[in-house]
Amino acid sequence: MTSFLSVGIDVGTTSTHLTFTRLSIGNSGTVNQSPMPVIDNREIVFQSEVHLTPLKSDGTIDAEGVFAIVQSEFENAGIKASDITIGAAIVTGETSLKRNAREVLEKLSRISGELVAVSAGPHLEAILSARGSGAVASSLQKSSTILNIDIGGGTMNLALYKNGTLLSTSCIGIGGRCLQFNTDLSLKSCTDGGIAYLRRKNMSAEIGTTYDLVQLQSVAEDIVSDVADFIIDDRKHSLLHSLPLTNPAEEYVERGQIWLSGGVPEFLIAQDLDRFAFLDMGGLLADAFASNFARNTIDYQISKNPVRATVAGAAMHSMQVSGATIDFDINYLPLRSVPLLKPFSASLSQLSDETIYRQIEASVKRFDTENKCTTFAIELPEFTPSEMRYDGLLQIAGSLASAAEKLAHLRPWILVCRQDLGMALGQSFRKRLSDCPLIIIDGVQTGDGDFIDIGKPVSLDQNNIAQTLPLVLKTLVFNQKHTSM
Amino acid sequence: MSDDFSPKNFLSDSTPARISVGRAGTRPKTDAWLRFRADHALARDAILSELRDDFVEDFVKAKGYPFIKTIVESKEEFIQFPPKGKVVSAQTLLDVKKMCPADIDVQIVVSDGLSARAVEKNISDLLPMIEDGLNLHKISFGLPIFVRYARVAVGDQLGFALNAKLVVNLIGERPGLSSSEGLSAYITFHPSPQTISSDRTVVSNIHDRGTPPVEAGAYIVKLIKTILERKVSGVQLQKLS
Repeated sequence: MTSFLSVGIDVGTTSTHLTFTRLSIGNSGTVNQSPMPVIDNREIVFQSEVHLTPLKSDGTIDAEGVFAIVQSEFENAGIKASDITIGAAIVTGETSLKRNAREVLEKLSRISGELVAVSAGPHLEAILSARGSGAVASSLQKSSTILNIDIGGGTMNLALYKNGTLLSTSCIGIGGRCLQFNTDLSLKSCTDGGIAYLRRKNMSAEIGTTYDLVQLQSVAEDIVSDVADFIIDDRKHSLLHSLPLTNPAEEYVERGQIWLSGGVPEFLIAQDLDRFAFLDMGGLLADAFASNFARNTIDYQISKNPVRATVAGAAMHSMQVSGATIDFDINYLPLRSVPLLKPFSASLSQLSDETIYRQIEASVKRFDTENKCTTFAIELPEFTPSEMRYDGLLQIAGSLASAAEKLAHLRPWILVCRQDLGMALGQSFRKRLSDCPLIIIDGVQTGDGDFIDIGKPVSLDQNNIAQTLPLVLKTLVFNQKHTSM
Repeated sequence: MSDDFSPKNFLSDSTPARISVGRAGTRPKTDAWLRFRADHALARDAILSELRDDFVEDFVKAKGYPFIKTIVESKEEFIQFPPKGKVVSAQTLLDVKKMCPADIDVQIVVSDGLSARAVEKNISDLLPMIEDGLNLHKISFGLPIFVRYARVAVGDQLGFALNAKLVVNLIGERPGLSSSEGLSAYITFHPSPQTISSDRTVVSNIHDRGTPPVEAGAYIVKLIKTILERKVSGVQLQKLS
C-alpha cells in the first residue's frame, strides 16, 4: 500500500495547532480493471498542543511566533519537514487578523516540505471543519442531514450536508472573542459584533467597563438566539445582518441534526472549566447554545475533539487524488497554486479551433492583466458521449493542441477534466503536438476551486504504469471580496 | 430535492446491481422482473451474436484487415466445444502469413469471443487509439487480424506464427446482467504454444460505462510499452519490483 504523511496547520483567531496524518492510497478498481485510486485510510499520527495564536500589538498575527510554534511542534512530533508529502496551512477566523495572512502562510510554506497548500476563506473553512468533525462521514453513513457549526474565536462557519453531499456553507462574523476581558473581567477589547450586541442591551462598550455575569449571559443569549433564527429561517432579519455574513445558507427547513465543533464547544465538554478561562465570551456562548437548543428541542451533538475539527479536516481531507490513467511531464512537478481557469461554457466540439484559442487567451488575460504568469490549469467542460469517441476526442485534442501552439508562453500546458479520459486526451494531443510539456489530470471535481496544487506522482504498482497525482484545490485566498469576511 | 437524496436512490445510483428494487409478496415487482428478463435476454443474445455483415464490410474490409475464423464452423459448435475456439487451421495460418507482415513488436488480434456486439460497439474507438499510441512510441505492429469464433488463446498461435514479440487480443467478454458490451484486452509477451493464462496481463471492462474505449486504448499502449521494456507479462509483471 502507498501511504504518505500530511500535515494540517490551523492558525485561528484564538488558537494555533497542528495535526499530522498518514494517508493511504488504495485501488478501488477490481483486479483487471484499469486502476481507480482513492484515499482509503486516514490515520492521525500526532496532534500538537493547542497554542494561543501569538499576536502583535497592532492585532495582526505574529508570523515569527507562529513559525516558532510550528517548528517546535515538528520537533515534538519527531517529524522532519522533508517527511511531509503534502499539507495544508490555513488561517481561519476573523478578518482583522487576516490582514497579514499572506505573510504568515508564505513563511509557513517554507518549512513544511515539498508542497504546503495555503488555503483559507470561509467556504473552505466550513467544509474542512465539517469533514474534520466527522459530520460528513456520519451524514454519508447514516444517509442523514447534518448541519455542522464550527464556533471559533472570530467566526462561526456553517456547512450543511445531506447524505455526505455538501448543500451549502455560510459564515457568521461573530465568535467567542467578540468581547475580550482583562483578568478583573473589565472590557479589554471588542469587535464590531461585540459592540452591536452590547449597544442593543444599552450596555457600555467603553474599554474598561465591568459587567455582571447576568448581563453578559443575556448578551450571549441574544447572539445565540439570532444565530438560531439564522439557521432556521434566514429571512428573519437580525443584528447578525449588520456583521460580515456570507451567502445565507439554503434554508435549513429540513430539520436534521446539528453538530458543534470548534474551540467554543470545548466548554460544553469541560463543564467545570472556568467560563472565563480564555477571558472572552466563549464559555458563555457555549452555555447559551446548549440552553437555546434544549429549549427549542433542537437535536445536537458535540463532535469528538471539537477544537481540532478544522485542523483535522485540513490534514486529512483537503487533498484528493487524480485518476490513475493520466498524462504528465514529471520534470514540472510539483506545482503550487496554479490558477484554475474555466474558459468554456459550451461543449468543446461546438467550438472552432479559433474560438477555443480565443476563449483560453481571454480567460488568461482576465486573470493576469500584467502578463506575468506562465502556468495555468485549464478546466475542460464535461465531454459529451460523441466527444468520448475516437473522432470526437481527436478533434478536441487537435483544437487544444492548436491553442497550445499559439499560446507558446504558457508551459507546461495543463488540462483538467472530470471524466476518465486523461491518458487518451494526452495521446491524441501528442499526435498533433509532440514536444509540448503536458500535464493532464482526470477524475477531478474542482467544485469552485480557484487554484490547484499538484504534487509529485504516487505509484500504485511497482512498474509505474498507474500513477496518481495528489491534488489540493483551494478557494481564493487573498481576493478582496473574500477578505472582507 | 428529497427524492434525489433518498437513501434508495443514493445507493442504487452508485451501482448497476439490482438493489432496492422492492417486492410484491414473495416475488419481485413486475417492472424489476421484466427488466431482469430483458437484461438476461440481452446477455444470451450477445453470446449468440455474430459479427454483422455491415460491420465486416464497413470497418474490417474497408480498412483492409484480414478476417479469418478458427476451426469452428458455427456458433453452436463454438459454445459446445470451447477448445476449438483456440485454434485456426494450417491453411488459414498460411494465408495469414502471406497477408501479414511478420517479425514485429506487436500483433493485434480482435476476437468475437462471447460477445460480438462488444467488438462492434468498441473497436472503432479502441483500435485507432492503440494504433496511434504505438506509432507515437515507434513500436512496430502488423495488420490487426479479426477472428470469428475465437477465444483468448488464438492470439498465441497467430502471434507465434508471425514472430511477434507481443500479442494483444481484444475480445468480447462473457456478458453479464449489467453489461453485454464489455471488451477485454489480453496482452501476452512472447506468445507461443507454451503460453499459459498466468502469462497474460488483462485490462477488462472496456465499454462506455466502464473504462471508456479511448482511455483504455491509451492505457493499453502504456502497458504494452512497459511489457516490451520489462520483457515479461502477466503475473510475473506484477511480481517485478
